[in-house]
Amino acid sequence: MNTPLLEVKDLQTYFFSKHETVKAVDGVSFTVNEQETFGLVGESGCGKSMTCRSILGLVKSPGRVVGGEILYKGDDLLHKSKREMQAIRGREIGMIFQEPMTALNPLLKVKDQIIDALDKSIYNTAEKRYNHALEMLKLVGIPSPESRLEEYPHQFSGGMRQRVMIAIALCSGLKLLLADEPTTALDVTIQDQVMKLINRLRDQLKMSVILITHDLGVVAQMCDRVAVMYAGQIVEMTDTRTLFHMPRHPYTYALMSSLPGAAGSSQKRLPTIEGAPPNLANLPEGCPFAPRCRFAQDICRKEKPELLPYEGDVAHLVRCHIRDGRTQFVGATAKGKQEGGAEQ
Amino acid sequence: MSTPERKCLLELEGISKWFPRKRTVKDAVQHAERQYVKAVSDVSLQIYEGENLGLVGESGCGKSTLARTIMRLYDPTAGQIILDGRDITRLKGNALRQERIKMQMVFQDPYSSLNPRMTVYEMLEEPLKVYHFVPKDEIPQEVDRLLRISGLSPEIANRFPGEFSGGQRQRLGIARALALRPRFIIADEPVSALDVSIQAQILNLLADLQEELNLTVLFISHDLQVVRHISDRVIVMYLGAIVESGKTEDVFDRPHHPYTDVLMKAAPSLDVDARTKEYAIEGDPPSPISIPSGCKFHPRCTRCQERCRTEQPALTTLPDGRQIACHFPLNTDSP
Repeated sequence: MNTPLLEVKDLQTYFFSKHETVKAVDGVSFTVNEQETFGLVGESGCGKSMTCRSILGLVKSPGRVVGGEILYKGDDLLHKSKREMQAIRGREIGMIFQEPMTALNPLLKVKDQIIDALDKSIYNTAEKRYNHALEMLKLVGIPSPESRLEEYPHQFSGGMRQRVMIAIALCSGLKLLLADEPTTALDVTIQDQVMKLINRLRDQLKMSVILITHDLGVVAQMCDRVAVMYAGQIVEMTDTRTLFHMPRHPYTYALMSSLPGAAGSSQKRLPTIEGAPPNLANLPEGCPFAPRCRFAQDICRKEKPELLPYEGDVAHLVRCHIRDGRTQFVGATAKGKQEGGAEQ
Repeated sequence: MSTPERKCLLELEGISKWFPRKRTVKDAVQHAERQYVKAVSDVSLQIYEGENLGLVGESGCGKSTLARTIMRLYDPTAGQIILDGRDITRLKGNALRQERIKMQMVFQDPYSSLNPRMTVYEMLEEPLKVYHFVPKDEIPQEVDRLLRISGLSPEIANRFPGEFSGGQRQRLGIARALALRPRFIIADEPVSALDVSIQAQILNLLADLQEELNLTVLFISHDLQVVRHISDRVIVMYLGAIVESGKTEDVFDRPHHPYTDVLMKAAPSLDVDARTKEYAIEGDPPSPISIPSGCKFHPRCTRCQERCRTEQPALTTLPDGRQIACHFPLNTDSP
């Protein structure tokens, strides 16, 4: 196996206020290999976006990365100076956001916004820059790119704006793209187009993608490996197939079965996860999911579980105390449902 | 479920809602004709008592405009709205207010649809007071009841909406909609802004309330799986018009309209083993200002033929009660 492109080790990003410390990211470790799509899934407030911002050095005060390492091609990004980070941001690691309207400047033509992001030492004439901008629009599949370059963001539809965002992010030959809910604000048919565009570009430009999403359907269609996050921690990490066929953490399983599509149309009541995610400033003593977990036992309320291989499988990590037949049973029913769903 | 003798609670007859565009100086100089955004054009439908009717379509297809027109928040450009046997299309003032008691709305965004300066109690008390719905001394009990049936604790009555999570806020939105004991609820994307685990709770609550209170629900959503789960019948809209309707299982199992088929294929499947590289559909939906000639869907349709470009297909009712507007429908023997 080749060395991973990005290695995050025990990342901790906390937010400080007078009265409390909010552990937004609390000891997150994962690796992203070359040309792979790695998914970070979870509900709002679980720390998935903050993990991404930490990688890019974009955590704003009162938040701070307080511990851990972020190794990009072997170098720790946390020890880079501001200037060095600026050289990496946009050149090596780029990011696209959920809301393509607010991320683009409404006063500048699309052409100028793409050209702005180009490296002026490589594209050293106006003609070269224009041609590259044109090429980027073609790459992301925008029809009649020549005339579109002269237009402003408000003249583009949501899907086209997201394509422009992707073009801007990719125009300097990225190695790693961080995509924070890139399709959430889009209609299903447009979401489908943007998802497949990102997949195609990943293969074509030989880059890696970290995809942040709350939508398990998007994960199933795009990711090679996935980490499920809850309350600032990874609770389960494995390859996508294993996650959907054999989820081992009660939270992963509960998330999957609470989706209307997974439960089957005959069932009138959806299985729910009672309660709400915990307050990150005031986490319960044991496992943060214990108060909402159907399988919680005494040990879950007292001790925090570790992220450990499931039955010796180092590629499948689970943060749960319960490792006996019960979770196995949970996995088996989920598998049955998945297969049943495929037949319909 | 819908037997023919079931009572029709709401009927729309050829409802259209066009918004005029602002005339520019250029238009005035050139004596150009006034342009309209044709948000909803010629929609007819029936909603039967006690059913949950799903309304699906992409953004801009007119589903929210239709909902607001039914509520008489917009005046329809053409057509009739008949609620419980009474034509409410042209009602005004007090007469309209009295009819509006029968229908209420639950909104998408539980953050912007609740007044941050009103406590939960004030919010729920207001409609009761305005309509003199219950005697003054019974208002506290009534607020208690509303909170309880929406799955909230009556102790929260003196708190502000800002103190609650998205799921709790949406429960408050539902409690407020139920205050006047309406018979008909329009839920406009009620779960789209919520997390998955909370979404399931709200869907269950809506299903329970519908059964307990014998509510009729128009459930608007862009999420096909949610509609498939909760609705008895479903209507698919595209560019302001109905393209297909029918019982939920029938429509989802055997879609007749190519657009319905595309919508289903585009929704990301949970099946990891079924990945495709082809787009389900190319292009964006056209703008409702310049609607394509003939079939509105023809520029994006893979089955498009000459006839589709010129002749607009009428919404026809099939023997099994399904409606379809397509010249060359899918999965059917008799076109």
